Amino acid sequence: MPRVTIDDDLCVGTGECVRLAPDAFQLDDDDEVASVAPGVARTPTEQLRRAAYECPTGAISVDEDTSA
Amino acid sequence: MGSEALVLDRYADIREALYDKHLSRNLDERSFEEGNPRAGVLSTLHGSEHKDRRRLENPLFRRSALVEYEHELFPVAIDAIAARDAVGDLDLLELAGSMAVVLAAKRAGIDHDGSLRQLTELFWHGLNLAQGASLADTIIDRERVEQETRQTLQALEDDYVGPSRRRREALIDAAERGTSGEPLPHDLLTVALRSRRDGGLELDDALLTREVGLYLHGGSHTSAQTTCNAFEFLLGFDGVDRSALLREAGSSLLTAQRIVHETLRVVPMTPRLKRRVVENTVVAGTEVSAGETVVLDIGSGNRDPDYYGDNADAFDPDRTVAEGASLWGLSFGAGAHICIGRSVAGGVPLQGGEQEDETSASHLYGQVARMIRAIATHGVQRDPQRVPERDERTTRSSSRWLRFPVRFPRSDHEE
Repeated sequence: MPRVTIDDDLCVGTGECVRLAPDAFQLDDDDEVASVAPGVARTPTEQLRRAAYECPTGAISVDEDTSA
Repeated sequence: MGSEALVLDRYADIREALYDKHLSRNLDERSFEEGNPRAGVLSTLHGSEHKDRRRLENPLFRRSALVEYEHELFPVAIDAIAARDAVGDLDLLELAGSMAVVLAAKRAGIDHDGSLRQLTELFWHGLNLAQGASLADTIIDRERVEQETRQTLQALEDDYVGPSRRRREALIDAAERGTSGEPLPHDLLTVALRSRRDGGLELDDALLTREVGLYLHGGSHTSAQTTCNAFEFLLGFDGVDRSALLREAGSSLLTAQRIVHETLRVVPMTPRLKRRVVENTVVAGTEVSAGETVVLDIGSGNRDPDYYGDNADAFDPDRTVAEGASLWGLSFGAGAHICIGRSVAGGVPLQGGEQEDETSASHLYGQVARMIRAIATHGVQRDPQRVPERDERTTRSSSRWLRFPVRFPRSDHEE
């Protein structure tokens, strides 16, 4: 599984990631900042990459899993 | 040194520049601070100030709100207005504007009585602000535009935003005291007022009026102009008979949505964007220095054959695009300043595996597709006596109309 991170400093809370990968991302209680959701593990990598590509501020990183 | 600005005209290069945090949308104070309604509003902020304001306003455009718009507000704001007003000879720009302004006013937090008079007045306030907001591109008397902008902002404050603000202040007071059963409106004005009370954002009344006014402009002017741009194609003003497509647009929202996306791609509302370099950086392989300007040629980027094929110049709503490209090109921008209302205007394209089912409760077609379908359904035709006039007051006249006379049949309405 790839490693998915969100840079809080970059995220402006457009919610594009939640729209494109609703299991993998969620917005905080104030509905302002996105975070990685538990469902990220079952989300296809292609969908995660699309969410990262479409994030308007480039806040999402999807890195190849280098662990064994 | 007077070096020429870097001009980017390829899709990938423009997209990269739009994501670059070293490039600011705030160009110069003469254009954005002195008498310009954009002064201090969301669209011109940069860095952390922009981030804070955007975080406050983004929740207004969550999917739950958009679904409510699609299924509850649009039928009232669009279909009902078309049924009432789409008859005889009229200006398509005003008709589309009166449809779009209902939703724009709701989102912005501007109360009105729903009458055609107030809707038209609000739409023209938005058009006047549009002229003021693009002051840098105006080619008529700059002082006159600034004066009209000040008058429009004053009228907007006196007749609409002021009363709307006071009503919301009273509602917030009552909510804080626990004495109100009325829910707080879900709109920009309300969230801004609450944030101001909480000490979150520093927004004085004048800035609030400008922010709300620019929402009105952004939500109505661009949708109305894009509707006219679409009907320029559908009514064959470019010499191509599209009567079959026009009929299909009147019966299929998916077709109407594809028409909207293709119209936005071929005729972007803002064909050229400019960015100011705030810190030395490299853009599309070229070094640029602080203070320089980078020009983003959206019109060319949207026709990049690498992404849109050899027929990229053609209007083809059925086109498929390359991986990574948007159906609407870069017309909504990209990066931190991507159009906040893009999903309201254009909806969301069908995702992989999503069925083309127009009864779906979840698909978002967008405001402009619904406007196009309503207008096509009512039998819009070219006006045989008058031709549309472009807005030659601005260098953006390729995408903006001053008048778009059309004719609707009278037989359905006359006894």
